[in-house]
Amino acid sequence: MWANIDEFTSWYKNNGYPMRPPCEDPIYVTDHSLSAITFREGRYQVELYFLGTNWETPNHAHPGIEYRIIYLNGTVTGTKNKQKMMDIPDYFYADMKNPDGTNIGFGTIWDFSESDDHTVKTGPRGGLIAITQYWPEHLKMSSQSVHYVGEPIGPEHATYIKTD
Amino acid sequence: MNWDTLEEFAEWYKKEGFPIRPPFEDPVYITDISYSYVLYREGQYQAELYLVRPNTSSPDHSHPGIENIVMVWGGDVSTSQNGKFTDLSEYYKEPNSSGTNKLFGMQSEKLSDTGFHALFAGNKGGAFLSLEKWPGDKKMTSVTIEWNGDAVDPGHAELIKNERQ
Repeated sequence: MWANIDEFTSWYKNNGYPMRPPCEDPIYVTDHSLSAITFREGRYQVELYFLGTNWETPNHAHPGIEYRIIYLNGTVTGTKNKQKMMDIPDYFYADMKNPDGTNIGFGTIWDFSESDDHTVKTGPRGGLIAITQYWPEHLKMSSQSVHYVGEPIGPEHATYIKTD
Repeated sequence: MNWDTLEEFAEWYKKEGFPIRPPFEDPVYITDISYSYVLYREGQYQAELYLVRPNTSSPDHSHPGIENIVMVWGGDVSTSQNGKFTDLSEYYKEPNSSGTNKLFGMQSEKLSDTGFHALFAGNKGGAFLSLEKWPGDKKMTSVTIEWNGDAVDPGHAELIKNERQ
């Protein structure tokens, strides 16, 4: 098992992003994204987000959840505690790729603590991100789209938000 | 890697644990019922993961020229082929010993590109992998684009038109 979210995130990446979706979880819906839990073990899980094109979330938080966002593909930027994330280079929007065909930002990790707020913004290709998460015992594990504090992404999302 | 058939690629992709290596040039493909991303591409083979909104369905359709195997992933998805509905919802109610649904990783037979198929997502929505072999003379995108049949919605029809230009 893992001692903290960074150990889990390293394990998950180093093992090739394994998939073992839990039977009980639905597809999680917002007005501009769909997501699924791709792996869960104990209080750790990974949520894969498919992000629509050209939109931005309101500033929001997921209190109590430690998480890391792993960039996989697409045009994605954002803020952390209202500051543009310094380690997001503009090359996520450029036509550059690794020798294996992936975006040169593939596998980049952005870290967040349980008290951070943030936004996510996408460009013309939308985005593909995996979010590794640690949920404390007192929270029922679901999705970061559900355990969400802030202005909803849209009217559809508003119906799904459920903060314990 | 070198696979001779789509079936070989599908076996390999599952055995390797569904690797993620998305081609940077592909966007998210969106319709009113689904979002998809190409997770892996090598040569003429690729794997697309589809996430499907709850309580939706697609029209009957086919993907001309594309060899296609569907692999069950998550949620609650049933299918029809050539008008024959197969209800899989019972299999999604209880997990297997690893916690996934009982059909996780199960493959369909190769879909005929002349017959028609459709999907039906239940209360949980659904997810499936589309494993594909594309002909060498065709620009690889998504089976959302290589689509024969009524479009899912007007935006989908526009997407097909724009991507094929």
